[in-house]
Amino acid sequence: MHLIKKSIATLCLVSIFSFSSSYAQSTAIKDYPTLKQSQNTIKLLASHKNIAVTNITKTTQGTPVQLITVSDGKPSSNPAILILGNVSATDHAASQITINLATKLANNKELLKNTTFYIIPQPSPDALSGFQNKPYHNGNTNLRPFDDDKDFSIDEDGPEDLNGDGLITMMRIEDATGKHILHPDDNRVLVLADAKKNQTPTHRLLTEGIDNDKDEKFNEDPKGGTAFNKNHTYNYGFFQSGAGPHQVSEPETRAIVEFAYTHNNIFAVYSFSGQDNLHKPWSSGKNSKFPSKVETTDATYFTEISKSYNKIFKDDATTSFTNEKGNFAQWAYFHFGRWSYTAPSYSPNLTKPDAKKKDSKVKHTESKTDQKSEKPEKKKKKKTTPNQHTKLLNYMDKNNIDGFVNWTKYDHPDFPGKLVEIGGFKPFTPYQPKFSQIANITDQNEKFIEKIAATRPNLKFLEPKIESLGENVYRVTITLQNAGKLPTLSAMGQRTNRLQVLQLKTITPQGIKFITGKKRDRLNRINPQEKIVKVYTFSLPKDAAKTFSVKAWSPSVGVVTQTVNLTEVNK
Amino acid sequence: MKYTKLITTLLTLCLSVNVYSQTYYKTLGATSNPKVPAKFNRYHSHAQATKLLKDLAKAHPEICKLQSLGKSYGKRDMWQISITNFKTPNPNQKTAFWIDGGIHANELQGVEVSLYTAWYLCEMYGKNKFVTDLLDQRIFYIVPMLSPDSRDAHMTEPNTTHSPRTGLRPIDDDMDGEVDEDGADDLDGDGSITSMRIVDPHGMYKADPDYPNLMVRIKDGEKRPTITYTHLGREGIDNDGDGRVNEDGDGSYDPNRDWAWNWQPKHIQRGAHYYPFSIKENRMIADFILKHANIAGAQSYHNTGGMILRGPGALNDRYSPADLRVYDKIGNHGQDLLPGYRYINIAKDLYEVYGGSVDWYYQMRGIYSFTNELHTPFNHFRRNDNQREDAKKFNKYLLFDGATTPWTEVEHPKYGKVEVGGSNKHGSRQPPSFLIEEECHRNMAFTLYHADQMPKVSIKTVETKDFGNGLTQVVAYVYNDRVTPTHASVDVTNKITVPDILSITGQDLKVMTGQISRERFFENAREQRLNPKAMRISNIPGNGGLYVRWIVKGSGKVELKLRSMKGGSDKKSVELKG
Repeated sequence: MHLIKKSIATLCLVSIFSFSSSYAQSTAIKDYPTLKQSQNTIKLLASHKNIAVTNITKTTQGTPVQLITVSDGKPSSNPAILILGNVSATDHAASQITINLATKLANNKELLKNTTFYIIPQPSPDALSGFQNKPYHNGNTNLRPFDDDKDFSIDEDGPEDLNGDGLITMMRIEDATGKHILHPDDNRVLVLADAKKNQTPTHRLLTEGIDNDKDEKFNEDPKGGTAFNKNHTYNYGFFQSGAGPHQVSEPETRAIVEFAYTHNNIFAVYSFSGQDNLHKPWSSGKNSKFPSKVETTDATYFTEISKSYNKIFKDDATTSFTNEKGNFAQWAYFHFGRWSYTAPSYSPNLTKPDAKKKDSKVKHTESKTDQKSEKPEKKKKKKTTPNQHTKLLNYMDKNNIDGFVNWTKYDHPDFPGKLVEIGGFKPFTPYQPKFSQIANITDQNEKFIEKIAATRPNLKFLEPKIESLGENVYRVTITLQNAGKLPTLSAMGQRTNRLQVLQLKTITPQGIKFITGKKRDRLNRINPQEKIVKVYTFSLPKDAAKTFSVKAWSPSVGVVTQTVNLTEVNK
Repeated sequence: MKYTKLITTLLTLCLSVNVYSQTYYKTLGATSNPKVPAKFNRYHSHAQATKLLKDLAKAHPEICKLQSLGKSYGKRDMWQISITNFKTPNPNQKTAFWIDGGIHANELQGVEVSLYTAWYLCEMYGKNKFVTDLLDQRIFYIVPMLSPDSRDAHMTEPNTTHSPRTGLRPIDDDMDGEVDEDGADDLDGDGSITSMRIVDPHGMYKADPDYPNLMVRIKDGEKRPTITYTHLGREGIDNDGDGRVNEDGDGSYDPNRDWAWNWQPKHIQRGAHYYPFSIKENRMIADFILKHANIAGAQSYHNTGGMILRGPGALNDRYSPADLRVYDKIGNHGQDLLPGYRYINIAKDLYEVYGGSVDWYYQMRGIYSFTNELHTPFNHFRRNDNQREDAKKFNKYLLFDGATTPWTEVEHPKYGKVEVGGSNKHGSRQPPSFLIEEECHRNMAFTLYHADQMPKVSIKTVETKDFGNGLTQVVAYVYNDRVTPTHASVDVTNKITVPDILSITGQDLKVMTGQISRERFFENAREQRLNPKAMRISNIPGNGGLYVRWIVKGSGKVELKLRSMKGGSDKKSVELKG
């Protein structure tokens, strides 16, 4: 019966993954499943014997936030990696990758022997509404009502799909009072006019829609909300759009942060976000009372892991770190005190067609501030320098990616007598992989996770020294070594004091009396290859058992025990 | 014979009853004849406070309403009491004052001041003009007890005067994987955690010659007495065998490092929990305050040291000069009302606090807020010199040694024969019966002054004038009659509270344009292009006003309405000639 249930579940899984294009319901990117479909897929994963699926909370809209626990059956007895999928709601591929990863990891017996995985594919499920509901629009926030333009009316001026193509794109208006000109190399792209170069603006650039509240601003207060990746305690952006009323204000943020703090076995956090420290590590240096740089002693380890990442992913794209205030990945390191690794799920290599230049910078536009008003692409340096968007168009043209809506004329009621065109990049598509690429990206991620697990601290006891001092008085010298590639605690982990301290506990015969050494002891950080020596001198009653054990453990590092047979006195 | 005796007894009884139901001489301060009898020369437990609050709500239904914001971690009701004249229209739109007490549970008297204020306002309404006016115009929201679980723990379990400052959620303080496994232990069973000492010929302490329940350090070169002691720290044993005594007691986080503004994690701010409002009781308060934008002033009661504290709590933070002028005005006045108290800044004059409640009230909600540290050693003998010695003397001659426990011998598993005694939990931070009531009244008086100084707006004048071309000019002067502006600077900058709205309506009235100006000639006026019928005023300054001008077309009765979230409302009508 169980077997039948399991095979049906497996069948379902197979069908979901292989015939995804047959979804009746569609989303912003071809073949990608909807939230509901993803959540069902996750539910079905639970039929695997190494997987448990739970809802850690419900959002204000009643949407569950799912947690997939992958373990050998006893999740809390092994050190764990916490994995978060689309930390930025726009990175929808991330949730698909993490869902696939769950099955992969569940079948990776070697890895599960000493590692547990907590996977949250969609930390902020309500933020996906722009991805799966027409008109599709870039957006990162959940559905908590928020007064973005601080005019004390809430969500009163969102964008509209004027041309009825099911997408929110841009509008360009021929208007000398605007700030933009057309890019000389590609007139699909608009750039800011540079007065120093005698450029006269020809266009206004706005998101698609009308000025609903007649305040002469367009689409400045759309529906929602709070962005998960702006709602954390580290470097929080007070009063900023998308940041929420205060840090960790949303049920989903709260549940995830509580989960993290109450799972002592988590030693590393792997997340998909624009705070990329894998293509290039975060900067390190000396910290003040308020750490904002990677601790210098931690930097080496981050560099190593970054090397491993680049070797596996080989995408050559140097993504630039986006300093989102209140983001998750930096919180995981600077406040939660764990090794935090993060990168976008997919980094298209925009320079590849030219194959020479290495200066491509992929900026993952994340927030809805980009839609709000005239806040366009980066300033270009030279007249003919290709900018981010021309490069992206070039890349999309060469790779047959249908991610751009050509500008077409529209009769706009707010601009009588003016030439208004609607067009521009489609939401999501340009920066997301095709659905068919996800399997391959999942494989790369599995390899990378194996790397993270392999660097773990690895405690082992070396040969003990036993001396008999006569009259049942003994001296035992214990040596504990970290044979792994990471210290038992990062420098930041030590500073934040949020991880359980490595404990050394003796298990002794009845009636023992210690002369030196402690029954229980605390160990500071042990660096890779470093050895810790502890000396115990004690007397035993005559009839006591002649054994003496020492156990070293911490949930985030693991457990090792050494039992000493006191009759085997060293010469 | 028998009957006469009985009658005499009955008569005596009746007489004595009569004596108590007689009207008392009118004592100033609190009424001697309250509807709800209450004593403020003692400390209320959660159950006792619950009864008092329920009695108040029952006896004064038109003045006070009681609700529970939810249950604490230990399943105690979080009482919130609203006090105003509820017969006036829209009582919850009146300018509101917030009072909280006892976030640090061992700081007992903060709760008493909050309870006293609730009781006093209810009982004095209709008896005192100032209180009556205040409750007709303002509303008070009071949460007397922010940490009820720990308050009861302080009262019923062995503690020091300093504990518990934390809430009671289990926390692994020493991060060893075991939770609350090694707290202090009441070895002598006196209900307090006092000190341990051991007779030690090499000890550094001796019995205080004047106050034998206390010890003093032997001075360098002093002739050693026959009995000397070593101080072994707080009363307790090493419950978990890690060689350390009392290193992981109940809870351990500071509920007043849990508020969102400038919150910092525990490696920067000791006592911080996981994230702002991760303490359930605080979240209830934050939710309440977020829903009540009409709160313009706030007071938190703590102890100890005789301080009227204002933010900011951190040196890297600042308050605007305009707002500081308001703080100074109220704080300096407080120093007069509270002898022995100093009006000072938390960060500069006390110590740094990241994530304290008063900073959140002000910086994120635009509420002028103070923290009072109740009880000052000044009160011992109404003087400031040699306070340490005075405290001992006060204990001996006024408390008759009540604040100390005599030393008794107990057997300690680690140290052997030790003595337990010294200062107990009842002294030091908590004033004795005869000082509690004075603390309550004076602190309340300061808070009522602050409450009275919350913004109070009115439309002072409305003037109309023929503008020519068939148009009329209407000029209104809106005024704020109190020290506090309708919007603190932080509020204006961060747009926390809706602007004050002055609207003009009338039949067939056409409003062409509207302007706001600081001076009557409108030389630097700001025009409002969008919907000039409802002029949005970002702030009406304290003890000051603004001019609003409309150019309109119309005739007949025109009504002006002023509505300020934190400053109340007003209306006036004028006749347009047309």
